[in-house]
Amino acid sequence: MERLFQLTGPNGCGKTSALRRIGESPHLMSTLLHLPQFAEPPVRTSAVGFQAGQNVVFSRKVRSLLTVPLVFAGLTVGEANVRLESILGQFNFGYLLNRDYLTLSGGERQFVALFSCMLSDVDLYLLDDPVVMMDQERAAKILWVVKEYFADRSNRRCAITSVRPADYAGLHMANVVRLGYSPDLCDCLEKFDTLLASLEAIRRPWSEVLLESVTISPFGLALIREQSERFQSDEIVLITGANGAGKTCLLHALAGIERPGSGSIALLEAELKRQPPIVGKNCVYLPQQFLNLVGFETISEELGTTTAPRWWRQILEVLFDWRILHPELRVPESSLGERHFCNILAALSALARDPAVAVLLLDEPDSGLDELHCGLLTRIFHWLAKQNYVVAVVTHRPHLYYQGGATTACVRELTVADQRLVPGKAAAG
Amino acid sequence: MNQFCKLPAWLRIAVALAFLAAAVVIGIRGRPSVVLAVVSLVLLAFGAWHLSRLRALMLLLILIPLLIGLLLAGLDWHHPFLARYSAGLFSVIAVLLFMDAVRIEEWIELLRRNSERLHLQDVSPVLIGTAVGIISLSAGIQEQRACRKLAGIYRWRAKSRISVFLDSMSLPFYSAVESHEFIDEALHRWSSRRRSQEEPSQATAYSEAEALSDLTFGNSIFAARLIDVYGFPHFGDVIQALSTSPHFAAPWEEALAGLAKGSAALEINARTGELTRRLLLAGLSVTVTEGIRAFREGFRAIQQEYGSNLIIVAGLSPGILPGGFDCVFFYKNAFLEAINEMEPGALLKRLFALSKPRARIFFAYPALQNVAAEGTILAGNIPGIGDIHYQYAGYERTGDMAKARLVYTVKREHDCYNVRVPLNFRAPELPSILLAAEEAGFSHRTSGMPQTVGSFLTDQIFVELGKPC
Repeated sequence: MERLFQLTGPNGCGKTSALRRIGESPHLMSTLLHLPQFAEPPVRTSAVGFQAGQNVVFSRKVRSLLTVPLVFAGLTVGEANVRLESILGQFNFGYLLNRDYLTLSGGERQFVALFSCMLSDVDLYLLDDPVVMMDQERAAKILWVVKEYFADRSNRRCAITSVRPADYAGLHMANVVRLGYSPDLCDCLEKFDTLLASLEAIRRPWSEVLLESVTISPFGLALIREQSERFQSDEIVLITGANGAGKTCLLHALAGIERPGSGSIALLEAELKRQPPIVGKNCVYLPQQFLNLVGFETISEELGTTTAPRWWRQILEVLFDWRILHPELRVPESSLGERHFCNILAALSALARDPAVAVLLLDEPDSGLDELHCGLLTRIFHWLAKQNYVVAVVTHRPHLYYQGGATTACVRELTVADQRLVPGKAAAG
Repeated sequence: MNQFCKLPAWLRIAVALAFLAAAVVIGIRGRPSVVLAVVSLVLLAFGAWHLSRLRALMLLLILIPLLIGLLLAGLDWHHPFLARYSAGLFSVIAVLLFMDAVRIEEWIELLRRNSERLHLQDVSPVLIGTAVGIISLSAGIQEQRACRKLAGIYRWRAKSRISVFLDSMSLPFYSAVESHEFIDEALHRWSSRRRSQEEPSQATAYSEAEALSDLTFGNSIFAARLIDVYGFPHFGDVIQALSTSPHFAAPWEEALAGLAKGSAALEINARTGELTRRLLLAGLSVTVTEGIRAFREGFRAIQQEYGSNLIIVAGLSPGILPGGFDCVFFYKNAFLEAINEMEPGALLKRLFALSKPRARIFFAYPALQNVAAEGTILAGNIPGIGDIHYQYAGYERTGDMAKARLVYTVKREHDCYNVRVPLNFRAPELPSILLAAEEAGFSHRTSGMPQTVGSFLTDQIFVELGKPC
């Protein structure tokens, strides 16, 4: 569509900053980004829907979070509520209104951010990667919402940032601005494969995490009921399922953060007794986006590059040398995508430094990452699985994990649906 | 004047406690800022805005972590913790001030009054306000801390305990402040509502565009290296298109003519285009390698097969320069890239040490990327690629070092590639390069080289360095 604009580019290229700039001065940015259609007819009002979701300073209730911006924009509370009910009802998202924001999943928080923007009656809508945390079904629905919303509004324009332009192919956006740069994808992945193939093997003893008749019921709501499963080393297990199905809760149970309602979870290692998985002791767990795990020193210092084990140091040096990551980067000040990538590196650094760690658990490590960063990470995961680590990953994009490059491990999918763990497809390395 | 003060003491205490309890309860469950505003307005109506020792104490309590941090950081004002904590602290205060405009009055009072007798009504506004503010911020902070604990983040840190402790204090604060973009957005909508009443001025927008043409996106510390431009979208294609131009400067032709038949050429990273073709036409055996390992292997193979008459076609990193070559062609940007990896004097000494007697080094000055110190470097349409615009903005020079903001645009129908990054690079003047060459032991000869590739380049100087017998 002529009135939809896409800003895309690799992590850290400045998509969100550009979006903010567009909100502040659309005319200026239309000149700088060579998008004359952006500023004609003149933009008088704009609204931004942030990827990182909302702040709860005004309220924790979703309803209040959505009405406050409308009140700021000049509506009365009554009018704001009417608009809220009508638009969310139209797209069947009314069930979110009475929820506490802090209990929402990552994907649901994105819904709130998106609707907070789209409820406003403005000339220009700025959406910061609105489907980055969504499962495919919900992403398709969001795109449908955006399409419908702009279909009958001839003077409205919308700019969307995206780290993966393919996610928005359904919108047929005519104007695309690609910001920033990154090294050549194929070239980089090929070189990285060569590096991983040359790394000295650190084959750990065989290990597995065993679930026996496990029931997981956080907040009294049964998400998984009496399920048994094995997570073995030498394979990558991909945990998939819809938003709110219980993927993260399963990961919490595997990490020993949350006790199962019934049944048992144990880590079995060669020559060691059966022991419960404990995060920080025998397993490393990476939560979802939107947090700072890494402090204010430069990333090189934070990860302790000089004192890291050899294999991990070699990987980091390559990432720094190829400018995948700037060694001087101070992570809390970087972009959301870069921060997420550094958080994953922090988790891997924890694994590399502690020989007692046998399990790596990651909650949506691919969300918000560009193709290159994703490709590098999946290759590292495959290499780690080959070194006999138990690797389990929650993801909405399982296809990304089938490319392990030179050291491909076995990949297995496990879907959380209807309180069951349903085996999906498996691919041998 | 002060109706609140006239109430019985027990009633004042009850009212203040009720406010506090309501603020805490609603702060956890509902709309803390709304409660804060209402409470503040009520107290303002009763005239209960006085400076108190407790208010001063509250301010001190906020500042104490900063003071502790300062001591732990060895009184180093430049320690990252202090800067961030201060920024976070004062941003929070600013946000709270905005959320509750009435509190501005309170802060003014804090500055003006300092000797009043302590009354409960003096304490209540700041107590309630602070309680609500802390509760509303704590939701985000708690979440951050919970996640960090979940990740077992304290177990693996490579840093000192003090550094980790400082992080644990400042990070949640920083993150809570950072996530106030929601408030920014609300403010923006409020201001744009006002702005919409006025017709925007196109002329103003364009003058702004000129003023901000050196704008960069992304992480500002991510200053690009000169060699990073090969990662720019289509840059390789652009260079390839320029390199395969039918124009091939006469000095390069003469340099090629001087090569011995049957020599072997080793080229790294395939960026020279037309030069490679000319080398092949001149009857040389050309090996193109990708990467350092391949280059070294290629070099060993050529040495074994040919023994002598080895020509290196660079771009190559000076660090991997092999010994025993007869000639080096630094074509296009290669010399500029090489001196950005190794200081010119050191590079030329290395070239001298590793080359054979009577070896020759060729390069053009200034390099393609440094043709214009400031302003447009390349501009025009390249068939199959699109409209290219490549320029330095905000160019500054200190000695041999140049700082520029690089703006690179490729426009093709509805697709636009836009790179705006800071760029720091070494760009010494030609006389200083020639001086360094003399000091290394080379003789030199220069000749003018008119435009080589149509409208893209200005005149260059062709430089030949020779090693004596």
